[in-house]
Amino acid sequence: MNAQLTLTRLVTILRDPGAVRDLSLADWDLLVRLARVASLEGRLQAVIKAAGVLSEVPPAPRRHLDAACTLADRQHTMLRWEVARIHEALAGAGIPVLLLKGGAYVMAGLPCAPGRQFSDLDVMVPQPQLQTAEQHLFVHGWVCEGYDAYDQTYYRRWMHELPPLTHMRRKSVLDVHHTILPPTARLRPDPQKLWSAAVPLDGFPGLHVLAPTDMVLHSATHLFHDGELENGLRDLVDLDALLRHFAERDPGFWEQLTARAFEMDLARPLYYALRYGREFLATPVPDSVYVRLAPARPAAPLRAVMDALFRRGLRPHHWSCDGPLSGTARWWLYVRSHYLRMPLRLLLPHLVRKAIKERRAGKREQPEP
Amino acid sequence: MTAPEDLRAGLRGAGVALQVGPFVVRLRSRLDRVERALALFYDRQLLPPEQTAFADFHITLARASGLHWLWRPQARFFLDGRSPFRPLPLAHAYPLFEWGLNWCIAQHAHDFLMIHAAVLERDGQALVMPGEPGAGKSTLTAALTLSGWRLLSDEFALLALKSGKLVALPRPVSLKNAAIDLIRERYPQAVIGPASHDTSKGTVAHLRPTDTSIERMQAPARPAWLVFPRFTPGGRDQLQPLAPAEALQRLIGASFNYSVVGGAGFEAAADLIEQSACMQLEYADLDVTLGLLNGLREGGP
Amino acid sequence: MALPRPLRSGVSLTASEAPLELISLPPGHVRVWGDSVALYDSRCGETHVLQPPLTDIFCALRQGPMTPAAVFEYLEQRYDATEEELENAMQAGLSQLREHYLICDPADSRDA
Repeated sequence: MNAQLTLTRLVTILRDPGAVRDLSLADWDLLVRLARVASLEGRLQAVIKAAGVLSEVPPAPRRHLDAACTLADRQHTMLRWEVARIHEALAGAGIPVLLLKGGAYVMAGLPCAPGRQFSDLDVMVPQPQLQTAEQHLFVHGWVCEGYDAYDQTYYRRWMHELPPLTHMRRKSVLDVHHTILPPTARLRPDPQKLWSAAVPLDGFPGLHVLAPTDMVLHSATHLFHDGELENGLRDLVDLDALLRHFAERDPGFWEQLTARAFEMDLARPLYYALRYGREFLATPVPDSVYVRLAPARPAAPLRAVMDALFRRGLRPHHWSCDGPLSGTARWWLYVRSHYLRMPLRLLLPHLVRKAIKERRAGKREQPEP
Repeated sequence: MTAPEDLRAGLRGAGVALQVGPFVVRLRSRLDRVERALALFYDRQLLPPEQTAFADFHITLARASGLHWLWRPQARFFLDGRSPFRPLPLAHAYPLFEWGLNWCIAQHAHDFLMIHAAVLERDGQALVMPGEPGAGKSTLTAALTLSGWRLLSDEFALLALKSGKLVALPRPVSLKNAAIDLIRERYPQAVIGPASHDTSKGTVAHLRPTDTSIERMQAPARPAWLVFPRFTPGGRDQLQPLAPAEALQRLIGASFNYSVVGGAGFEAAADLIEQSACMQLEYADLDVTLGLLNGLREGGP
Repeated sequence: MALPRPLRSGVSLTASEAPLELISLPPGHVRVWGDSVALYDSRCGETHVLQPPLTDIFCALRQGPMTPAAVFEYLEQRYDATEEELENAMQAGLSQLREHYLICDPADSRDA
């Protein structure tokens, strides 16, 4: 089975779900596995369903796509519940909340949400109200648990953030930020600007989502600046859906996007997002946008290096997609993401500690089936 | 039926395909003990390669890499190239396959409410026995299946969300410690594989499912009895009615994916309870308890 | 440090004569078994098992919105207890239903 062909198929079906008609059972055998590793199984189901061609999927692979969607639907319902509880905890206290990532996609009903699996909920509150927010959340059952003294210090001192909070009864995890990038990061978008452009969420006074341009920039930054690309293709699929959606609704969107990217100092991650979005998913980026982004383009030698890294790193981490250099590329991207997040004097001790801890805990493995 | 040399070639090549209840497993392994266990337990479930273009789970059992294979050889479980668990001693390679397969099913089969429970059938009616490890469930299951009940599952009940019926997942019954000799002595016809010592569950050996259990694997059964066994050595064997609400809470506690399947899972569990006589079983003597279970009539003890 | 109080704990029940209303639940998600009720709240994924007298309060409210006084009357017909005991049991029951978000709060109605 040709692996490149299966990746191409996955991407083709996401764009043109009618293509499922041409697949044999043997094609599905590898496609389902690839989609699973890429965290795109549920997304695949949602896209196929929306196009009305779910009946073209044979029962055996369909069971897996449906199961992934069941899981995603459940997560979305729980996420809505958590958002309502956060609203209950913070709105009365007059603390405004910005929903980020999955929380925003689901609550704002954006096209990248259906079938998309989310783990945690990410929100942002204004920095001066961070402490008060923590107190109110604590009263409503969110506590900081399972983090040792080092982790706590790491979050509070270096990240100027709260460690992830867990709800005592529901065990849901909540990340409270006050900026979209850690304060130690190389890029420093001004959170005040994000707040001024934020869009209020219907029915939840005090709750907001990012403005369309900022949502795209945040997603791009998360993927290409500080992300580890564990789910690179999935995140690129999100971006592609957001870009198509916003551009379709507002003819001035592309122009606003590039202007905002320079204003927020996030033009470089946007450049990468559009470059690889077009390459992997044929994201319809007008040529004029590239011209405007030219000043943010890395110089030719760096561009070649980044191409080599991202073209490998963005492919699903599955044996069928791996080439001889995939592991090396992933390692460099991992180091890069940390390097961009904090200065070297903080980074080296942190990585060493993290490596030792992971080794001790056998982090990615469960002790027993 | 597949010739032994085909099995070996298949396991070492593209993999052999097994029909395990509603799932197709493609298994590859170069380990001799896996091959022997497969020949002993799964010979009736091998699928012809041309009929199996699609498999639900692609599993590989391999020797763990690294230097310590010299003095402490280990086996690793891979699902489609990824290894979700730590390796186990090589001698436990076959139990590792069974445990790992449980994990694969629990992670993915959300068209079922999956419950940690034994399921047996008689005259189209199913007895569902959820139980904590140590409740004596496997011993009871082995004894029942060797005395006329059809085995649907030893410790993994599949309750179909759409039909409300129990779907069979017949796998070798895992017998632990003293139960191994007990079953061997009482039922001379029992085919029991080699024991794996010092696993996390003690000594484990597997009982080959009866022919009927495998032949009728595609036939689901409707729930009739929900029995929660508890092993009480020296106590009195008795079946007592259990309040439905209590039964529901215990059933949910024994489920692997209740929180994922949502309302459909609640309805399936509640329907099962409404259709079943719910009881708890105190179990001390195998003969007396078998008498109680064999005496179950529709709608009550 | 003055910690903020949870929004719900201070709600005065007796002061309000506004009708109480249960959240809407699909029929399949509520099972009445003898004197207990099992129900599933799909919004948060929680399963609740109610026992008397909570069952009676729940069953009373299932007929439709009801003022606390009407709930009290309903209980009075079923229990042989002093007025004070009944009042206490009712308040405890109602606050338990509220704690589980089973009673409609106008602010929560959009979650349903």
